[in-house]
Amino acid sequence: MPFIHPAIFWTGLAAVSLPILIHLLNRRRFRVRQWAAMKFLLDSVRRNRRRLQIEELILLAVRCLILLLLAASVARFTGCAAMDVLPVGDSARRTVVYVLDDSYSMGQKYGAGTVIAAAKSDLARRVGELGQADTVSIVLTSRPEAAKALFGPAFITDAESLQSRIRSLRPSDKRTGLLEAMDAAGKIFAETPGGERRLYVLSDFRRADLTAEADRQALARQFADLRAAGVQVVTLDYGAEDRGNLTVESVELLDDFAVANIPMRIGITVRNHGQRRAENVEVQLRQRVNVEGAYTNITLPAEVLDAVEPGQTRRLEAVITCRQPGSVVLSAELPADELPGDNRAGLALQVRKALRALLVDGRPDPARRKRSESFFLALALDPSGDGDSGVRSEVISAEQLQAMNLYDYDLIMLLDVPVLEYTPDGEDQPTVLSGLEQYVRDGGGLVIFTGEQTDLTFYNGPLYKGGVGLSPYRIRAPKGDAVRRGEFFRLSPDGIEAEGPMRLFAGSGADLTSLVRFFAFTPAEVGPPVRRDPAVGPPRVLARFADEQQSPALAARSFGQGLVCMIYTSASTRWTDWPQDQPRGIYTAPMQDLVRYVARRQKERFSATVGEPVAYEVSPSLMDASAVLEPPTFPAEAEVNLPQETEGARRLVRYDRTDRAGVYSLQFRMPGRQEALAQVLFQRNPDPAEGALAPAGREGVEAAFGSDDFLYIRRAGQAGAAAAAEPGKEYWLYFLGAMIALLALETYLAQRFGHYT
Amino acid sequence: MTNELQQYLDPKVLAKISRLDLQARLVVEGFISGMHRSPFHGFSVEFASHREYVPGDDIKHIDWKVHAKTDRWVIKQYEEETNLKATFLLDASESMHYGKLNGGAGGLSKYQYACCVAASLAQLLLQQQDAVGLGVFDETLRTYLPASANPNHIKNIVHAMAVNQPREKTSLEEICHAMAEKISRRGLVCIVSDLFTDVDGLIRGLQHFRHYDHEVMVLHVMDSDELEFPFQGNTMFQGLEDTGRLLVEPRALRKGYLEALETFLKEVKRKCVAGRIDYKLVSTADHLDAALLSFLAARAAAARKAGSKK
Repeated sequence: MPFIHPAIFWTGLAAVSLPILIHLLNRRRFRVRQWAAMKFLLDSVRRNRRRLQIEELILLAVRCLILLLLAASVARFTGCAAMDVLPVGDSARRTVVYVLDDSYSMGQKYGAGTVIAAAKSDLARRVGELGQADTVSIVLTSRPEAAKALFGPAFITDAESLQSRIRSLRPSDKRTGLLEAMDAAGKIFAETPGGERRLYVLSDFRRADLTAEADRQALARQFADLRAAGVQVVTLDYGAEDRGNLTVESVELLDDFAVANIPMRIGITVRNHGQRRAENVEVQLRQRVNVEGAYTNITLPAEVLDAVEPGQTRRLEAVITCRQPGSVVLSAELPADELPGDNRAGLALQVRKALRALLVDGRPDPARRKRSESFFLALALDPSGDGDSGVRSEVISAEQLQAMNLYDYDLIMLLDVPVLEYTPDGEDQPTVLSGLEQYVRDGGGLVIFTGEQTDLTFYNGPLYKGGVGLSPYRIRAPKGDAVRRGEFFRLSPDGIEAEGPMRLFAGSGADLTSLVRFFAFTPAEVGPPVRRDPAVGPPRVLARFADEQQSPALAARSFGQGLVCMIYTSASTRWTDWPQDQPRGIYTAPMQDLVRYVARRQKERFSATVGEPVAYEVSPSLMDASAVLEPPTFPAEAEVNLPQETEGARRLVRYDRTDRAGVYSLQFRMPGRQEALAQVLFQRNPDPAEGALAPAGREGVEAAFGSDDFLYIRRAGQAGAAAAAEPGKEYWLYFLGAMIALLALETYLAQRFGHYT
Repeated sequence: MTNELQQYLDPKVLAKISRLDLQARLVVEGFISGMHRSPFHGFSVEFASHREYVPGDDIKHIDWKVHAKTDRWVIKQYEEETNLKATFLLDASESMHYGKLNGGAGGLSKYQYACCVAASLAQLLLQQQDAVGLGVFDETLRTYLPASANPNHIKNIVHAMAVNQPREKTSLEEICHAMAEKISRRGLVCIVSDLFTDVDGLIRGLQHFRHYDHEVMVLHVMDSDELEFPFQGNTMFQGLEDTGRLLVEPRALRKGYLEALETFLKEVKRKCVAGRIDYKLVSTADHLDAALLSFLAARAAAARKAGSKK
């Protein structure tokens, strides 16, 4: 309805019947007069009957039209398609840009519908009221680039089709990109000069969206630019008060690795954006795993948060064990509330079959395996030999180390390796030592066991490197007699770090220290280093021997992104009975913990916020396969073939359109085959900050724009209500002028026709 | 005294007097009081003959031409001195009723006004020892009083006017034809009517009088409303004499009505003039002296014409 006050128009239209009614009633109200000169009267009537009828009709039509024009001007006619055929001139054409906030907060429930439903309804109605000469653009905040606008800039030739497209819009899973959208609008206005220009912003204007200082300054600049360009800004605020919204803020792996059959700790953080305390919040956990070649969702037992205070977060820890290696997604879901979009988040993980440990045996003995340095350790780490314990170990000799690709392993364990190839200081050549150092810097883990073969010159020289090498401390000649085994040392219960890999012996496990004997060890000299390197962390003693000096039994230091642990005894039973693992577990557990403590962290990031691209490095074995990505809405949305891109020596596949929250499944298939050779899951989560639903209100919008020079219309989730008074393409002035002209015409005609004297 | 009498020439004032005879007398006295001399002095319709001058005669009647020719002193004699015979034909059809019913502007209906005029003229003529007759008609001749010079005849005339009230339709042509055959002696016939009849038929009827050498005069009486048509507002006009009815907005028709009326009046006047019939349009809002003066002026013109013939 092209009226700002349609009710007034309809009333006026009904009032048009008044002149007709009056005309008809007048025919029933008359005075009676006896008349003698009837002949002349009849003669006059006969000669003028037709003219009288026409005059009467003209006057009636003019009077009805006057009322109609009065109603239309008071109702503030805003135009219709018919008006566009009039040569109204350049000043009457308009450039109208609608910025529709389709962030996921617009999915907030309000009444029987949602906030975005109200906005879409208003937008569809307004689109239907625009003239054919108006240049229209509709920009979505989820894709603010002008090239990706929902519509335009163009004339509307098929309003119904556009309205249908508007109505079918769903809120995106992205955050509000108001600034970018308004910037896009500014570019559109710059490209379409002339005529009236108007920007409508349909948004919920959340306080959280408008309070970031940088964004506010940018918005204020953008607004000022628009006003300077003569753009009228109209804001339609659909922000509704939130009644209590809970958000899954994050789902994260608390442990360093995700290994099959190894329990891993998952942290789920829930934030209460509402004003009231949330109690007994049930968090439903699900696991999406590959079962016999197909992914399926497994529902796990729900966890309950007893209470989450308003404005606060609570973290829930769950222990989950994945039975199968591969790509999995762990998701947490809250009960439905007024904003469903942030009730669910997930964590995509690449669950490894096992941590891969490379054991470099400094004294291999294939004939008498038990005498090898690596025998007991390998047994402790990987009893079955197939990695079922979560660690898969591979044993090599020191000589074979040079040929190994260290990056295929999560940690390297040097077992009584006397020396590694190295170059003297100043020479920059790749050596085994330099390769090992780089490996650790890149995040790899290194464990060094000393032993009889430990070369002090090497260990205190290139390996220690003045305190910035891989070795945490200088070491001295072995202490104790491993042959006669007369004297032995135990671990000092007080010297065990409770969170370290030796935690078995900490606290209540202190008594276990009496079950392990060390007949010899290499004492470490704890002291300040000669050199310092910011990339090399200070050494920490995680366990001590119970000798007079409380010598370090286990020390560790960070080295670049990796970690080095040094155990100052042998991995074998040569210097200690510890590897005998009596009682069972006394050796196995700390070694397993040591592996997890030191091994390369799981650095792959398969989870991110909506909008962040999916990128995956293709392994050589998959280079001949086709990469296909199934978006979260598959099969409703078709899968996408992704080309492999070359980036230096790496081959990557990339997908940018991660606008939807959910799981993106990247599959590698051989040509002509449907089954996937490999499948990697990626999780995209909505930005939890969008869950802060508190509206900014008029004051907030004014503060963000830095001005009140705009029209603010409060919609508050309501659709279909009468439009607030807003400047529109109005014709009331023309109608008023026409009405005045018609009044003058009516007076003139009535006098001319003899109705007035 | 003079002003008091002249007020009775105003139809509004006259309307307050119910008795027609009184109305007539007051009109005449008012009329005469306004004149410097008797309107009939020296007015004659027709020169009749000479007689020898005797001392005491008005010297203005001396025929100086005869004196110049014959050196004789003679006085002109006029027919009125020898009894003018005037017959008033008064229209008493229903259309003449207009005015009183509707509170007409003049305060008198056309019939009342016509009666006043006719009665006043009759009074004047009888005072001059002229004979006056009356015919009251509608479709038929309702009342006929032959001309008489008896001063008391005015009572008969007034009575006949009073007892006849307007009704029925008009049939002027037939009345004229009938009256032309009825009136025996040549004289003056004065039609007092609104003439809402067929004009050609009227003229034919009046020509019948002219055929018998009567002097014919038409006093066309119309109400001021009929002449001006000042009405406003939706009005149902109900025609008198069964002329139908009409619901109109008068303002829309006024112009056409006046045009039609003007056409009619011009036609009537033209045809009267062509037929050597004296014609005078009077409005019921006009003072009665206008009607009387027009009558007397017509008489004076006729007398001059008669004198020139002789």
